[in-house]
Parts: sequence; C-alpha cells; structure tokens
Amino acid sequence: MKTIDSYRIINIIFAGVIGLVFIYSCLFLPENGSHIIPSFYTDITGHSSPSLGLSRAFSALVRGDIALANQFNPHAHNIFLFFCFQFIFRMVSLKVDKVSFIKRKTWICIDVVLSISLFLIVFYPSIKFTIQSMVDVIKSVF
Amino acid sequence: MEKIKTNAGQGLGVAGLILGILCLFMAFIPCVGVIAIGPGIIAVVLSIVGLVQANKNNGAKGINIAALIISALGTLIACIWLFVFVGIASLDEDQIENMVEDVIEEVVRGTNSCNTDLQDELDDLEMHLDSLKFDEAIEVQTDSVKVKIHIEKE
Repeated sequence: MKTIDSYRIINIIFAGVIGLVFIYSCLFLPENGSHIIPSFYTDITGHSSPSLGLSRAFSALVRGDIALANQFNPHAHNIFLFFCFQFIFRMVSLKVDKVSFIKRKTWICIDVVLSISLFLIVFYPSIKFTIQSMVDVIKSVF
Repeated sequence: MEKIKTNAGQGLGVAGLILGILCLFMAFIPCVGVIAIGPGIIAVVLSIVGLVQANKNNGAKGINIAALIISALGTLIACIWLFVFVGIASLDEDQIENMVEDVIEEVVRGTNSCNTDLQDELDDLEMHLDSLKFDEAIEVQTDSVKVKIHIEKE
C-alpha cells in the first residue's frame, strides 16, 4: 500500500507558503502602499493595530531597508526573522531522514515545541491585542 | 484477530492540519484575522471527514484529531473577530473611540517602541532651524522627499 509521509508534505507546503510570502513582499514597493491585502481592522475601526504596516515593512526588509521597515511596523523584524527561521527549518526538515544523530520522532517534537514557543514570543503584541479586543467586546455585550 | 492499520483519512487529516495551522496563524493577526474563517471552516470539514474515514477503515486518528482541535480553535478566534467587527458596527462613535484608544494605549505601553531616531532627527532639525538667518531658502531632504522652504522676514 502507498504510504503518505505527512511530515514531509507539511514541510513542503509550509516552505512553499513562506516562499510565497517573500515573493509577495518582493512584488510590491514599500513606499507605494499598493499591497493587495488590506488591513481590515483599520478599514473598519479607523484605528491602528500591531499588525498594521506589516506588508510594507516586509517589502522594505526583503530590500534590506531596516530603518524604513521599523517606521512601518516596529515588530516586523522579529516576524521576518521568524519566517526566515521557519523557511530554513522546513528545508532542513526535508532531509531529516538522512541525519543519523537524531531520531525522526525527536526532531518532530523539537519542531513542534520550538515553532509554538517562537510563534508566541514573536506574535506576542498581536496575540495580546487580539485577546484584549475580544475581552473588551465581550464585556461591552454582557 | 487484530485489524491492520490503514492510511484511511490521513490525506484529509494532513490537508486539515495545514489549513488549520494557517487559520490559527492568521486568526492572531488583527488585520487579517476575520479572513481566517474561510480556511478554518474548510479545515474543520476536512478533519471531520478524515476522522470518519479513519474510524470506518481503522486508519490513524491522531492527525485528524490534532487537525480538528487546531482548526476549531482558529475558526473560533476568527469568528470572535467577526463578532468584534459586528459589535463595533453596533456601538456609537464615542464608545468605539474609547475602547480602541484604551487597547492601543496598553499595547503601545507594553511594547515600549517609541522611535528615538526620529525624535533625534527632529531635535537636530530644530537646532539647525534656530541657527539659520532669515531671508533665505532651506532645503530639507529625506530618502523620499525633498522640501524647499523660502523664509521671508515680516
């Protein structure tokens, strides 16, 4: 019977998705602000959020303009580094079977723990903002 | 006799897990959180179908259960974003302003990310302007903008 290597498929797809994010950032100039994905939060409320300007900051970062990226979004550096790390990790994970010093199961456990921890650290401002917004709306309803 | 484990539902489980992780990831980004409902619902459906298939044909259920939990959590957060927007739409202007200002204030205070470089540049510019004589033009040039100001004494 044909077996499915789930971990390999997941790695290939996530590497592809992260690659698309980088391509998307390369396609648009940071100064134009003509990125096709809008900030729904800002469009609806008219106020800023911790993720506002992230696309423009990524466009600036892929061009190496760190100062400009910092003006668009101060958290963009960390998020960009997280994406870079994830891209490299996915690529390395594709070759995990050929690495003899670590078991596949151990590698997957390290991957899960490391990815979740880094996600929580890097996206802390957005997560906090999301939770606070929800709590405020729930409070206003009840 | 012990049944042989099959791959039933595994493909759907993997698809559900990938969409679920993407959904959860997007749900925590305020700008695009509400869009996560789409992939979230698809992920929930795929995970449930995968779980049913795995149950029927003795397939591995772990990946389907993981996919279902992650996608359900992502969809729940995305749905709450939708309620946030609906809630905001039903509030009056003063209530919205107070609520969002409080949240932004707390986040800004928490992140402590004031732009000191810009402040230094402004101080330098102010000192430069103080040292200038009247009746002459000043050129201020940044990376993208060039401004020429002509000052006349009254």
